[in-house]
Amino acid sequence: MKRECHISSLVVHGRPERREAILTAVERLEGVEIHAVDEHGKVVVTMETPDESTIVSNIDHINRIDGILSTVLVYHHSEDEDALEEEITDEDYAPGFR
Amino acid sequence: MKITRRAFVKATAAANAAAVAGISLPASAANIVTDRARTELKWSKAPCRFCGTGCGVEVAVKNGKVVATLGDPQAEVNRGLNCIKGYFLSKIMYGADRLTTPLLRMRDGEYHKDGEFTPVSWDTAFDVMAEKFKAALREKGPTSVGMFGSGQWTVWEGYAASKLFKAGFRSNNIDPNARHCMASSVAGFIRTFGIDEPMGCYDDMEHADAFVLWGSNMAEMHPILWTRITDRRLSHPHVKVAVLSTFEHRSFDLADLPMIFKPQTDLAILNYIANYIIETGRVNSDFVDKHANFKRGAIDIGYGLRPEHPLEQKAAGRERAGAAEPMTFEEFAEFVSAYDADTVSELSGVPRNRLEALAELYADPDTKVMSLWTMGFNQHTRGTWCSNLAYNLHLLTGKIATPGNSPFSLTGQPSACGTAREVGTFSHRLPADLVVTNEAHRKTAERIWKLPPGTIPAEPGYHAVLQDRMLKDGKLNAYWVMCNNNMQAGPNVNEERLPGYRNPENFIVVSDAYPTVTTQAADLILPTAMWVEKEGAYGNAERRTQFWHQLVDAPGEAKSDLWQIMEFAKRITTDDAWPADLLEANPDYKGRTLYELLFRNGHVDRFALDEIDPGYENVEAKAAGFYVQKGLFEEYAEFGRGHGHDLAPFDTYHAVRGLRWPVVDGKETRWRFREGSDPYVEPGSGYQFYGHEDNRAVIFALPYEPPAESPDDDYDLWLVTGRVLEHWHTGSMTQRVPELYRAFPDAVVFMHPDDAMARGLRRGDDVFIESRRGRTRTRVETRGRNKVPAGVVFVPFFDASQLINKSTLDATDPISKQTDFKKCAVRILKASEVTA
Repeated sequence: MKRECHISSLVVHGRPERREAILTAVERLEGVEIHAVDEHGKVVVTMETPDESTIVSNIDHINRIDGILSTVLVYHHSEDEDALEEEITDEDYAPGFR
Repeated sequence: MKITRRAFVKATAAANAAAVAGISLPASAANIVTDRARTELKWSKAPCRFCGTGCGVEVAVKNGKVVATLGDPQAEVNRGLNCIKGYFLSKIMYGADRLTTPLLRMRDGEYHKDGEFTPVSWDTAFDVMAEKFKAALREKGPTSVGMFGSGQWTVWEGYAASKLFKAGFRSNNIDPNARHCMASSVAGFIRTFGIDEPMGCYDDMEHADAFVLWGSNMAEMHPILWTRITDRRLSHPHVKVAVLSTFEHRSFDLADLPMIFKPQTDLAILNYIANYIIETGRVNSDFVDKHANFKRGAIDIGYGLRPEHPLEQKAAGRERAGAAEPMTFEEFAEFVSAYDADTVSELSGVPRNRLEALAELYADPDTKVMSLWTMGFNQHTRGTWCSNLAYNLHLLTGKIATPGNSPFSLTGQPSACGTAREVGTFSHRLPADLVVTNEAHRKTAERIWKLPPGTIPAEPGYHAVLQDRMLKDGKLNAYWVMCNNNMQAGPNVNEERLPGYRNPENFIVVSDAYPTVTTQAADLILPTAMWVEKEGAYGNAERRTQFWHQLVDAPGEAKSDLWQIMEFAKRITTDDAWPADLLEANPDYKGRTLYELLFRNGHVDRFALDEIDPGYENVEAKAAGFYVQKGLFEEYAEFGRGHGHDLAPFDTYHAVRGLRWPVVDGKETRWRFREGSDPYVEPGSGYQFYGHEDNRAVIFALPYEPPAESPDDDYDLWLVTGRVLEHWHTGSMTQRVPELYRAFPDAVVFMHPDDAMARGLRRGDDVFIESRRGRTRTRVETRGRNKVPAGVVFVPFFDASQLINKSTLDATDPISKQTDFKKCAVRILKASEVTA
């Protein structure tokens, strides 16, 4: 059976005063990357996981961190591992996040 | 520079999350291709398949398969966010055990009630089914056929099903699973306002100063709306959140005013607040004098059990449950004065100071209040009263229909509003709030449907719980269950439902995408196309109608509910279904198939295939030879246009991210009943509650009455059932993904540690949870996210291997006929000490 890869992104909202502890706890999770943080306590996170159970258990872990108010999904992509190794050309496109 | 698709996808994921959170990413991360074409994905919009929030998602298709989903940044509801259930969206259609062919119970080559499920063709399936339906019609007439439908049906599926039964079969025995979900809210709206669905909308969440959750765990059940409330609370420090529940759940994390009350005492708390508003002189007299009436509702109305049940025998008001008499404001004030702080604090277990703080939120004229509720109010033997009493508070203070002042009933299914309610798939309803009991309403439906007068029966059909009872009693014999898992979701499985499905007199058809406990109990299983395998429309809790295109093909022989309904209609003729006198009086209608009668009526079939967007497939339309979804929608919309339920033209909805009805002159309506916001309100009136002829809403005097069953010496605990975030309702879609199933693998019973200790139980112990009706094996959980008080246990109902509804009682609200899944008496026994 082909191996799957799940790439997803989340917005995690925690109480601002708990920010440092939250970031430390989130960073500890495997496959989880923090991309940005703001002063209101919102954190942009991506996850790269071999299956959905890890996504869900990661979210469960995050939700249990003291001070977390919500964890929401923005993007979810699941494909065969091989398809994701394909190379594509990066052109000089301006960033345009819709 | 070359990058891998992996890096690209991850950058896209991060960029989208940052964009919706309003955070800018470092420039290096942002400098990535975002031209979607490069990923070979085709992106299209669709509303989420799950709850009633109605989030917009973008769905990516590659090689005929959904591979990615993205919270739609253009969707006003969720603004690019999506809850954890969004993870299921890419996978829900691809479970390994997807049903792909009709399955009939057969023995020796033919149908047999006790046979084995055997693959058959659609032709065979429909032949057998038609024979059974015709036999029932011949022997016992139209009341012997029926259907149990869904708040997950698309608008046109519900509409086609409703027409097939109410007009084709001349049977009102069609009811949706929404009966278990929000019938009490419907009855509450109709009683207080004379028209269904909230006056406000989700925009209220950015305007309110206080949020009061009455029996709703929004943090887990409506997470996206909860993020809107969280944002409001954290960015505006004066904002208060009050959470009322019979146990502590995730929503309490944000609560400024947490309150655990004893089951059923919400009625008393509501009356206490009304009393507080009056006693502290904060009634908005100007508003009340102009826009409200006072009424005293009938009391002692029973519990919707079988008529011979002792509780029904002694209920004096049982025959007139919905009745009410006019009263004065002074009489109302006198009525609620019994609900003083001490009395209600004693009854409810909520400390007096918290009750007062809660009441002050409503009473303070400068605090804009949004009240929110779901199953805690709705699944309640006095659920209609709960709604009525909540409206009382908003009407007494005039805090209604302005931004932030909003009594708001949330829904649990994606089209409970759009289909079950607006299309009127209930046993007493017709589209656009019309009802079968009203002759003028029936005439309207007969005119639009091009039927002879007297076609639609005037008697309401069997509602959900009554369908179970009539199946068991052998009065309902040919039955079609579509788009729900009622064997698991409905109450009192052993005593009242399974016997009816397996009654040898009955033939049970179940249409579903996956095997469920309900399909297991069927005689014929029909495989169903789901979500973006068909063109669809849903209506969410804020009156927003949303469309999507067919994006992928269904597997194997699976076909949409709409296709199934239309094809089956070809097998039945008016001669089979209609009585001789009706046909004699209208000879033109003789010998017509129900398909011709209902779908080739010159109305539904008036749009050609070339009107379909060429970028998308449309299986049902091609099978029919006309744009059937458009024809059905436009015929349906005729019911409501010009009558306060106006829908936009069909094509508009494919272009926009939904619109909130009434849509008049191309404009949606955010707040109904208020001048300047609702086009139906006349200039100079300020407000008009135009659902009632006198344009006034009703403030009801209704008492606290005890629940149908309370703990006693033998069954000493309250049982509350409900959902958990990871699984949606009965889990028939979410449990398909095995890894996800492990995230919350099996249901547990949440118990207070003291209750566990008193029974010699420890966390993880194997136990039976037992009521007077049945028992279920499960495990003890004394920790976790749901913290119950002593005396209460909570069990989620998603787990098909632990049917908690064997224990629940089929007591219903006598007005709304909705079951109370939140209160019955059980005991917990150590499994090792029970002989199974």
